[in-house]
Amino acid sequence: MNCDQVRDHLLEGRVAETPEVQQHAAECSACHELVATRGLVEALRAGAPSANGAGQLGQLQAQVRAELSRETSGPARLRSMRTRTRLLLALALIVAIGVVEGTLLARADMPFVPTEHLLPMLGILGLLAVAAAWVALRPLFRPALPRSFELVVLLLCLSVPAALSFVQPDTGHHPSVDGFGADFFHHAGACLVHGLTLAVLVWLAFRALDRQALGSGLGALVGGMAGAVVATLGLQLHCAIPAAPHWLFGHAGVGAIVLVGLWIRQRL
Amino acid sequence: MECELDSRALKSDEQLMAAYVAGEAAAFDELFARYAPILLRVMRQQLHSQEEANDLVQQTFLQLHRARHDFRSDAKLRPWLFTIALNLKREHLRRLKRRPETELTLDGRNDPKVGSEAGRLEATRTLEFAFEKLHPSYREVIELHWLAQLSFAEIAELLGATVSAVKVRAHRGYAALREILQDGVE
Repeated sequence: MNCDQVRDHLLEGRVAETPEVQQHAAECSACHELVATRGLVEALRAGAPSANGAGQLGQLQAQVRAELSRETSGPARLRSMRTRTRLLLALALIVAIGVVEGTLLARADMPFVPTEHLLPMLGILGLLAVAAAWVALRPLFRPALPRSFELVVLLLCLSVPAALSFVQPDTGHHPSVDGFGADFFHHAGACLVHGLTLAVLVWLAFRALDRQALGSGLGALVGGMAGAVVATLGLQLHCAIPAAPHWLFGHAGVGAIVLVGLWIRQRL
Repeated sequence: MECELDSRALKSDEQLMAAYVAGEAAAFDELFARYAPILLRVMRQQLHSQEEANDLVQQTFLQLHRARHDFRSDAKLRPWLFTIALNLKREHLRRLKRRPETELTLDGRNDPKVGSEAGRLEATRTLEFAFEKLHPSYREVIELHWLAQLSFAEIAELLGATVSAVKVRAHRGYAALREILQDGVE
């Protein structure tokens, strides 16, 4: 007799005192504890909530069928794609935003931005965005990630864009040119709106790709913060104002607003 | 028609899943018939509400449908399905975390009288109380072993642990459960 047969034997309500059961219990500590008290086994057997009656199960099945019949729309097809495909689509969106911001909407001083500044910055933000996408779009049939890991990714998504605000490339563009004084809120506000637009775009795309529509929990927050990271990446390629206060308010501010917005959404 | 039903009943879970992925909707019904009762038993523990349990089972099958193209033909369906169910249940319980604890006591209880409806109800409440007192890692293994009827090997795969580690947790969990039930009843 093996562990499963002992469990099934007891589940069927048969006596535990058969030689086969006793012999297995003597060799297996887990099964020994299971059969040790007959009262426990009876309580487990009687107390195990029974399944609904056939009628109620039928009703539940009808509800599931109705739910499945609604799974024919475009977004539903997107969610049903393989996880690898969904991740590739997320990656394609991140790359597309980077390309558009770095070419069509590129900062005025782009030719003067040193490669040794641009490449590490793109690498760090890109990796972070991909890691956040991986956490947010993780399928439910995989064991859940440790909460500490999700928390670390979330904190990185918030702190790295803020930290990068203090690493400015020297392009010969003096801070006094614009983005300061009376212009500060005008320029920072424009960057904030630009960044929030990108963040919302990424969030909507991830929501469409996620099988739970970024419902709740830390994974959903990380998914939203991926949008903020991509927004920071886009703004780094788009904005030429080399002043930390501008970047803190107009760029890293996107992450703070997104986090607060997501937190409120989860509480509602 | 009857033959068709019989042939479906003879198919393995994995064959049914493959048939469903290939577009045979009836295979999903057979999977539902096999697993909905077991999933309901697992969901009912800790939830106290049939409605919530029904909702989570519904969500589990919806997620199974959405993830169908991720299912590999060499994988086992059971651990796959139960990982989805447990992840959904865990998330749901986190959302309910701030809900006040159900007050259940065992004072003055007698052994459940198996067979009578009142005895069954009493046993259910006794067991709910005992499960709530268990350490979550023990509770998880016992739910999967006893209520979901998974083998230790399947539980190990599902939890990403070794079979011997799962057996140790089961041993400790059953011992703790017995202690709680005895303390409560005495």
